[in-house]
Amino acid sequence: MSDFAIRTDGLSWRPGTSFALDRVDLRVPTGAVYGFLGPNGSGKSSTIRAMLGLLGGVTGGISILGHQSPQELPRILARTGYVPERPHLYPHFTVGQMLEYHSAFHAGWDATWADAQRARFALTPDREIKSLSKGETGKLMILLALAQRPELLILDEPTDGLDPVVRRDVLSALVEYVDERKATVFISSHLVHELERICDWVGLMDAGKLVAEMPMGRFKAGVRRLRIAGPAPVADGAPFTVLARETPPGSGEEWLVRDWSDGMESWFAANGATLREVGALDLEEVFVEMLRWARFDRRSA
Amino acid sequence: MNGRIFRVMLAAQARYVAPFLALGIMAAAAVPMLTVQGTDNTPPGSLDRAGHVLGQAAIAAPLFPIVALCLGCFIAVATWLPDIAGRWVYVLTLPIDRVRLAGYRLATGVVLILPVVLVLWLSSLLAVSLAGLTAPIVAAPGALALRFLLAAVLTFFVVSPVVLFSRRTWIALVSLVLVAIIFSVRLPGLPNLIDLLFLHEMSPLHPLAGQWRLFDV
Repeated sequence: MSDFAIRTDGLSWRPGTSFALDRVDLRVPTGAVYGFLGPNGSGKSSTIRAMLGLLGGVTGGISILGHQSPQELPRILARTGYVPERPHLYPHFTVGQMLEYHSAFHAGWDATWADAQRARFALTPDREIKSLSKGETGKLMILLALAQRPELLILDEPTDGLDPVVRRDVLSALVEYVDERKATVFISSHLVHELERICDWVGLMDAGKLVAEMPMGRFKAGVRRLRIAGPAPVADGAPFTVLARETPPGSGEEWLVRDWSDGMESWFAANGATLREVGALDLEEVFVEMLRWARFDRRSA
Repeated sequence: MNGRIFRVMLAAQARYVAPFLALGIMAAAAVPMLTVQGTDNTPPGSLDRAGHVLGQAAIAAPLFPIVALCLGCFIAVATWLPDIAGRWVYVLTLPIDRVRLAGYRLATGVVLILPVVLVLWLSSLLAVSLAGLTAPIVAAPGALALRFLLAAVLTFFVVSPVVLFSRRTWIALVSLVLVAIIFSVRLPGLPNLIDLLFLHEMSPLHPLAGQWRLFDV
């Protein structure tokens, strides 16, 4: 088995004059729940569509479950459950007809599980797709993806626009499945708190580029807000990376740093500065700061 | 071929084409019967009846290719429309080779044309039995049904890729047709578009033209 369920090398897509995806090198470890974060329009959906052969003119290498995309797409799709950003099911089908149709294409379809989950989601088989609410459609999409018992789930904003109750239902079905099957999940979202609870890896997209990719623990734990009293030292040679420096009213400085670990406080004392406070950030703050840093870094370049 | 995939695709497409199929079946039942309309007023086997039936056959003749053309067009549109409306996302993320998928779609389209052809053939047989004609009048219900099948399938196959054109290609195509119409009107020396589409022997729609009579001498 490959170390990476998804691997892209220099994935680029240029539909017009500018790049929509610019040399994206993704590494999604097998068995990980990988949160693909980024603001709206950052290229998350385009990356997913490129991986699944839904875009023309894509360059770079794409390997999914050890198969090359788009050359071996049927093999990839036989082992992958996909929930698109916008559901594109056949509106005149009933729920029952949609399940029957979808199951015909998937050899691993678990009809017993699908029936049980349909009842749990309170989806009536004779309801037409076009009459389903957004929440019911979301549930049906996740049901279709999970009932094929995939090794990899690619979910593009699966809970976007859903109410909290439906969102919880959808996410718990997903978590149960992952627990049971040890499947790899690649989930894109701009709802940072939602991913914080379920993901163990994070990739951060901005303006068509992958600006960061790391384990969730490192993403959260390694970023800190430091309050420095008195004159701040020169950051060159620090064992951490300074993402941003701010001078709040009063004295001292605030630094936003990454790659922070315990024991680094001593660096300040060794450089003649006083570290007053080390503050943790929640994932959303980390996300915002990382984006700010990435944008500043691009402008500087 | 995977039988289950074919069955679910056929059932799904049947749902979409059902209204067109119903119209096609009604037309296929009605047009051959039009050929024998009013024959009761003439004695069986008489020259009067023969003349009447031949006249009716000539009137009904253009309706056969029109029904075949409409059927092929509507089934082609209804076959691909759900995928176009869904921007191909669902269908292209099914684990099936895209060429095979197109093959299934085309095969199910052809199967859906068959009930209409069957009704046309049965209706033609009924019309022939009601006509009560003798030599030298000949009837060709089987040949007519076969020709209808080929014409409808041909139209379906010609229209299918046209349906799949992108919006940009559609705009280019419509512009081209408009230019061709304007030129053919302004320059009387040029053949008109209808002649080119249906009568030119190189046109894929040429088989729709010609004689389509159920009865002839």
